[in-house]
Amino acid sequence: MSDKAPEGHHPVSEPPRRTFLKTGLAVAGAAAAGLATKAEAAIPKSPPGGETRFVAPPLLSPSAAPDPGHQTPLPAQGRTIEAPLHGIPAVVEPTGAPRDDQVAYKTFDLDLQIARHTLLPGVEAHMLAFNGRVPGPTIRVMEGDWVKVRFKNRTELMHTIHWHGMDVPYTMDGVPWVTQDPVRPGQTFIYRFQARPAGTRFYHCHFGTLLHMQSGMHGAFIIEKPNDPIRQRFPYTRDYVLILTSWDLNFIREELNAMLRRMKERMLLMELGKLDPQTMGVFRTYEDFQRALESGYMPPYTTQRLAGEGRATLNFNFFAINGKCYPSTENLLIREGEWIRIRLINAGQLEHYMHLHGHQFFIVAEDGNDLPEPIEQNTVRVSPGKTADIVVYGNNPGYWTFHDHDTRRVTNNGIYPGGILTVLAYEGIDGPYAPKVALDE
Amino acid sequence: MRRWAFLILGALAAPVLASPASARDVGADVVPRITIGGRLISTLNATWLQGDGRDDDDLYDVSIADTSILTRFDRRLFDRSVGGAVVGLEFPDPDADFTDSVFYHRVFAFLWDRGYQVELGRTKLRNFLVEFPTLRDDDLLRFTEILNGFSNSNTEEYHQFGNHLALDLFWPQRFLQVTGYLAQRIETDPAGEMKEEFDLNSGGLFLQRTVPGPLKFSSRLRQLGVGWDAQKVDVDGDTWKHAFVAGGVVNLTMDPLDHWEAVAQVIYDTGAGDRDLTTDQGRALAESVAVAAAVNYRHSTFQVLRWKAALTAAYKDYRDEDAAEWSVVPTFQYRLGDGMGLLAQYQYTRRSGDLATAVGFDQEHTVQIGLSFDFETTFNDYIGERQSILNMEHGYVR
Repeated sequence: MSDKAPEGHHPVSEPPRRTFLKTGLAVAGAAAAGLATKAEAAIPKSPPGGETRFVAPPLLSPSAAPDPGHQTPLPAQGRTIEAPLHGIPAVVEPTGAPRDDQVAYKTFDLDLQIARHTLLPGVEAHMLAFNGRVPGPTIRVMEGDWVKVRFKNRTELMHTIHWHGMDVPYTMDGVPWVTQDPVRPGQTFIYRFQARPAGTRFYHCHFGTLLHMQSGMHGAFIIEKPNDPIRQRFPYTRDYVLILTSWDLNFIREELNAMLRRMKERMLLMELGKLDPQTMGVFRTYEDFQRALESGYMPPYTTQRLAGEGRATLNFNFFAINGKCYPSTENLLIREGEWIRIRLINAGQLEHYMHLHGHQFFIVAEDGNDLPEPIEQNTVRVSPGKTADIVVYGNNPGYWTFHDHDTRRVTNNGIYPGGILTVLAYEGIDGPYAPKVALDE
Repeated sequence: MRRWAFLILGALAAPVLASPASARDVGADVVPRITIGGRLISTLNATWLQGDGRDDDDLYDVSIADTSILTRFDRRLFDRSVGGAVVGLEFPDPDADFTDSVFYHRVFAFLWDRGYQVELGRTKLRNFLVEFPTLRDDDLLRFTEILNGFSNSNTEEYHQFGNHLALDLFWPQRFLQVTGYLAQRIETDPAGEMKEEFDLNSGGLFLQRTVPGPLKFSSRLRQLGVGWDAQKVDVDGDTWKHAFVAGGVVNLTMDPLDHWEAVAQVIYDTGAGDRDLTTDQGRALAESVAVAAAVNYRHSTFQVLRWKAALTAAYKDYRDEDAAEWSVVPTFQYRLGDGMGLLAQYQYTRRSGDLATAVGFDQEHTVQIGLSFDFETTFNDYIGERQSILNMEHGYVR
């Protein structure tokens, strides 16, 4: 146990008894006045080290400030579609947001391609990859920023991007056939919106969501706010993003192949002007759908067109943090006496119960929104579509596993350990035991 | 025959079926991918033969010939290639020379990876380049496949199936395929009974450009190839019989809903000496040229195939004889549902010259109406297929 830890077992015992937001504001106000409140005095400070280090899947820099290491999409591999079919607009710019000359947009470029992704040594799979990566790059802006995302679809499938948990104009919400037509192969769709509310958000494809989101089409979207009460209350110096996913690689492979085959045919039908609503399975109204049924239309759910075993349930066999399965997951680094923030995003279809050994942590936000009061726990449940932010204080040097306590997800193809497991590792310690790489217990 | 088939079957099945009783190696209980497929085809046939006193020779029967079931078991190997076994059985034609009613038509082991495929065992021989859209794959056997010069039986399975060691190499672009094989074609005695023993007796080499099914609309030219087959027949001083084949498939339209395709193939067989056409073996050993062509139409609604129709025509000329035959076959298949089809086919065959005399009739009409049920289902599919779209267009994943 660290001798720098505050009195008592828990480094912070006061905040849970108080209104978290009020505490944050009080701390901010007091700090501004050069005063120290009782609560502030009880909060350990992180060791000096400058600004918070953001540790997440590669950051996507705005186009206005190009950073070749992060900004440039990876070179496409394999077959790509660079332009849409004749007669289909190359660029779609829906209304519903201010024009470029009305506000100053931060512009980001996302493209989509099919890439071979290595989950861990010896396991590779075809995935739908934003900018060639799984998960997609992280977008990080300030609350209130105006954001423009130029999304180019280089695959033969159709897609959208949904901004999960963000209050965007409905025409930018990225739901196919509800708020927009899907982005066609070779087409570019421009999303514009103001980044709000602040918090841990994410983006994902909303077309064929079961397949596309699982196949890699997701990434973190972090909206920060100035004078963040969480940071003021818990002065963290490292800010981690962990995206949790579950994969049925066999479903992904078979269904991607099946959809690619169907889309190749549909693109031919588009060229011939023969792609009708019934073949697409999209109708203008429910009455149109009923009329089609009366005239002999067979909905796809009645003809069992699922690929492979024709199954409706998935058999998840790989589980990942930021696109990697243990032992390829990256350690979370911490120093003694340091606060760190961990943003958990569940971009998969299963619940995860993230448990940290040797520490109590505070849950400070859920669904990206600050909690009224932090909750002290050592296991946090993250449901599909949910995000949870926790802060951890470095008061117990060593190596501590941080993993899904539904241990079926701590496996690689059924072999334990694997999957959603990483290590909280203290920097600069010389303990009597250091972690090894274990593949089969 | 049965003993021979069971020996092969047993040898291949033993590692799969007997492993629980044997010492367990590491990974011995990893469940393989299991694929089960099959087709039941049942038709009501009516045949009229005409010529030389055969005018009244009408035949009516219900045929389940070519009904088959196949099972495939395969696994990823240590080097991430794939290995496995196929076991299948077929119901042969009623006039086949089998003492029982089931023929183990496919019993082989295989290996494949991105650039190659190896088969060892009994399976369908590489007797042809393209498949024709008739109801059964042997409806035009004499026109569409290289015949077995070792068989004096009217059992068509003896022409189609045999034991072989085949190696397919796929070029990096993977549409180009080279096939080499050594085959043990089934040999019979003059009475048509299968011999107790026979050796590797033939071989061949094929070269073709072929587009896999999932990418069938990626180019007009779906398939084009040439091949050479040699059989060491050793009859009457003639050691070898050679056959040369060329053929291809073309998409006439690039419309997935109303799709037309053309299929054509020619086989030139050198034969082995001057043969008597009165026997099955004599016709297989005669010098001949066979040409077959078909136009195939497939109609789909909502990307689901509903019906298809085809017209196939074939002609064969026996070069050293005053003998020829030709056949025209319109075929219609209507899908009642997934895997269930209503079938109809008419086949008219005309023989001339010595062939008509040898066979005993010069015209043959066959009408077939029936039903088919086919299926294929895969369990524990953790492998995928070598020629999937993802593997072909987006980098091969092992």
